[in-house]
Amino acid sequence: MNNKTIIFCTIFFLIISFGFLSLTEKKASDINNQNIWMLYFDNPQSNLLDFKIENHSTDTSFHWQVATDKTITKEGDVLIPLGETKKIPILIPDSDKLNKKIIISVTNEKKTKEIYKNF
Amino acid sequence: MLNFISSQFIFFFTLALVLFLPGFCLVLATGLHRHFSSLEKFVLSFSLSIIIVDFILLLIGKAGLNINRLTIFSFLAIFIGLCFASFYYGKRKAIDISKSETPNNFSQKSSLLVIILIFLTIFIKTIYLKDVIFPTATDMGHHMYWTNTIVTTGQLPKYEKVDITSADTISSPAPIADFIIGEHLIFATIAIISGVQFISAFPILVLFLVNIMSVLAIFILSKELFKDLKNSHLMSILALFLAGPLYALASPQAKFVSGGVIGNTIGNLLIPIALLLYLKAFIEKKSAYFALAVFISLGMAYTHHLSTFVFIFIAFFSLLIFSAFHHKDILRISKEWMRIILSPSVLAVFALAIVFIFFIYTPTYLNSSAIDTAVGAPSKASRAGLTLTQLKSTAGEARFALAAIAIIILLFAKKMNKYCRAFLLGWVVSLSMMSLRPDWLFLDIPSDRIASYIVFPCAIAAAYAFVIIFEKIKTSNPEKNYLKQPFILYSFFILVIFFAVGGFYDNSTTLNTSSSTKRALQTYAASDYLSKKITTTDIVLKDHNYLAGDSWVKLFFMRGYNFPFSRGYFKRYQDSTKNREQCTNVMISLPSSDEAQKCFAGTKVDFVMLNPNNDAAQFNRISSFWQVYTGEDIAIFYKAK
Repeated sequence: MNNKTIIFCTIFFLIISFGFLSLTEKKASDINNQNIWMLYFDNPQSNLLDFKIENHSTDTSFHWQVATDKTITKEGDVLIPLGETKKIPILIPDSDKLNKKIIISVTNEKKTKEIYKNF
Repeated sequence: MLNFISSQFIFFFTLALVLFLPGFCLVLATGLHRHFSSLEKFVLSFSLSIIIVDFILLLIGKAGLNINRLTIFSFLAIFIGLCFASFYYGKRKAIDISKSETPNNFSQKSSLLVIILIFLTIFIKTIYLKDVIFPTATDMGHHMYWTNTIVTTGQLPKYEKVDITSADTISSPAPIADFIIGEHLIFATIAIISGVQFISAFPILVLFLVNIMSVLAIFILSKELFKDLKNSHLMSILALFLAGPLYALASPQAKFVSGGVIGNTIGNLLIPIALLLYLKAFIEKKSAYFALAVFISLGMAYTHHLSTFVFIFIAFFSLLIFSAFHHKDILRISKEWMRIILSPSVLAVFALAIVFIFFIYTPTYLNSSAIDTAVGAPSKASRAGLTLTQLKSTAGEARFALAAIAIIILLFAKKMNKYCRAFLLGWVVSLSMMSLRPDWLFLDIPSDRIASYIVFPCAIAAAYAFVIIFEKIKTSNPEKNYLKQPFILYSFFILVIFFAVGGFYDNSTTLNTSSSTKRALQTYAASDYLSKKITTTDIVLKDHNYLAGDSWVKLFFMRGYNFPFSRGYFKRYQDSTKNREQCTNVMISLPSSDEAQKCFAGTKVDFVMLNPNNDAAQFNRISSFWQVYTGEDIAIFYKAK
């Protein structure tokens, strides 16, 4: 009988432990708890400049700028709730891109991030 | 929440189905279930299930069938059916039906103590694992890649990889001997049946379960080793204390679990189980035990080459020590052994081994080049053996000191069963020699990996020595002692407290203060993005030094073990004993150099994943690279055509 008690107790402790660890992992793996955001081109290989802001932070307001060789050509503000991604289309004729570096900067309350393409 | 509860239920059900039922059925089929205690059956069922499931999947793969839920359930059902048929056939034939569960149960107080120790063990390890439960470990990432190939393709994996050659091009696929199939089949089975995701708690939880079972295996093995001695229960409970809550986190325990050192962790379970069965076979002269022991050994060979190698040395040293102690009777005893070994059940298992090794699946490491790398004079400093201080640190000071005393006591321990003495001495001595003087044994294996195996035998030996000394102090004639007995007793208990504090202190220093979850999540998000944007002709290179969870990146692409290519640790590129390619290093460290340009041209690498806080500057200066993705701790650069 005592061996069986040991077995049942072991199984019970393991179930509790596994449940706790699974719950902990579920919380940890939720990227919306990490207060981060990412910036990337929708099509990284083409000449297109459409970009996306993926927001997993509590700051929802973002200011974006498009600069051609350090001259700001376009800018705007966008509100992105936590957990959402917003695509910002950017149309610049190919003739205006030639031999230029197009930088996309996005700023929220705390940080600025940049991506760019060299043409 | 409902989804979470149902997923947990499915996961637990899968664990019971895959990791207990097959083994339990085999124990029933052998007719040995009456001869094991419930706890022994519990641990044995788990160990056997791992091996049975491995062999079932090997059979499915060899039969050319797809490895999926249907085939796994079908083959499991056939196996369980055969076991039950054998069980009922054996029951009808059985003469010896009066033998019930082996005696030697614990008292209520002892059981409570055991339960408390198991609780403490699980609790301490849970506290440690909660900070590392999100999967980021490098080794685990590598293993889960192979497991995922089984799940996604339904085939047994081909362990091979491409590399960058000295001519700065990509080679053809070449075999890898480092991975052994038994490390992946059990995880694949659980993933296929339960549908659980790889980037989740599942791999660590399964390894955690294996680790807890190995602690219980030490407990039941020490019960068997000391069963003829006075205070045997105390010895086994103490062994549980020294193997469980003390030093619960250092390698090879919870650290190996979180690090994904799968083979070693399973090996640490199978070694004591095999020793238990061999012990029972020799002591009770039952060939059925020997057959099971050989089956476990075969399973070990399919799971972890290093554990198998260590086990062979343990067996050799045990035989040597036994022969030394009983050289006068060795011929007579050998005949007894032959009667056990040359029995139908044992020969059937040997036949099974031959069929599997030669016709079903040969473990990848059974080739001459892999054997050559493990045997011979140590080729590097890390394989030249540990110092005594290093070994003491690995084993735990308290355990090491007591184990050393145990060796001396065991040499003169006439009351102990001859096999128990030989096995315990063989286990401790073989691992000590392999760790301290590998050159004497012509071993060329990293010494710290070998030394990690000494933890469990030291725990058992230390428990033995502790109780023997305690007995001696209690029963010694006070008139013959120079010191008063209460003083000796109190000093001894202070020593006990010192040992316990040492073990718990070691736990506290191993606890993590920082977590890499945030950085790893960014790596996975970037990998997910890139995997959807690239084509089959794009080649990706990533950094291993500054990215968290980078070995898991390959699970997002599933384009080969070495995709993406990786800039490894910097010291590896300076290793004079191995001629390594430099492309993966220069393409990230010096992307504008001529050497790097040749590498980019030869390998066709056009995407680079790195940590912008460390490596973006050199790319920002090059106009041919675009920064196409940026997070806080990860960036992706594209080499525009």
